[in-house]
Amino acid sequence: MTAKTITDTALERILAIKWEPDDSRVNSHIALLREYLRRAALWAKALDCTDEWPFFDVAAHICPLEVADETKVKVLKTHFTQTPFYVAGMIEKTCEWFLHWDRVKNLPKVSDFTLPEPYEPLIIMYERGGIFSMEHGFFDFAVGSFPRGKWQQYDEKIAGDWVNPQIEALLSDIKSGCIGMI
Amino acid sequence: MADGLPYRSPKAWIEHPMYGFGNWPTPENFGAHDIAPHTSRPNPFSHWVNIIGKSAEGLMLADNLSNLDELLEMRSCTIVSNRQDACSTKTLLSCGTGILPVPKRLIENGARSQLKLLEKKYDCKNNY
Repeated sequence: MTAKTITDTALERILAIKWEPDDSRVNSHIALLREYLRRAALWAKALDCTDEWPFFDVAAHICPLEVADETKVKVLKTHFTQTPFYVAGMIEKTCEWFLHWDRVKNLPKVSDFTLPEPYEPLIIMYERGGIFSMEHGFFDFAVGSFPRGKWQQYDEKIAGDWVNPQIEALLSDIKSGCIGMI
Repeated sequence: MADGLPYRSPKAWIEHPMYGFGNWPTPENFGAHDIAPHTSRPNPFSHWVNIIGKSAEGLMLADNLSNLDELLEMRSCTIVSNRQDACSTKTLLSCGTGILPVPKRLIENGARSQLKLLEKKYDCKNNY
């Protein structure tokens, strides 16, 4: 399996997203975003870039020269020109960073970190109709909002305090290739 | 309620068993931010069912705002009826700000301005 093929899979996942908000799944959207914030805190700490938390290009910090194929990035950008206007800004950026991440994630100097995949919770959230917006330091959802907080708050979360069985199951499904289950 | 709505309800700050700490409004405690229409959604009022327990069915804001008064009456409360009033335009992601201007008649017909309340309370019109 080449890195190119892996990136294609990541791209196909994003292109398959319908970008239609599904508030009936908002419980998982909130849990997935919180899980992303936790993972981003772990990566930010490991890469010494906590000032960039919560949204940053993880791959660029480890392998700045190993980026996703330019053609694929162009396809992604074209995709986002055809999506509703609320699918912009950070959602678009995180999808592009996900492509870069997928390009490098199996390289030894990346896997040496032994940290969880950073963007997976966000991508699953998008696939489940999760659209978030951010204002005044709050993440807004259909049922309310929660403050972004500081990276230390997420870094301090210990596994037992955080574990959400349903979200863990969703993330495990992806890990084992059962994408169709979500 | 007679004095208008706060941006977020102070009573909605809770440690939610599922969502964690945040501002989670209920039909009893909600703010202007929570009920302002999401113009980015197919139905800008679809979040009402979660927040104030009111179905969004049939609630659609006309492009020319012609049915705004009816919508306000349906809520039968003071409402900040334009998300621009309730949200900053300085957002990382747009939540529908800066699109719909507030018609003058709406302000006259019921929307409450905190500024006006302050003027009334403290008579600070001339105290810049």
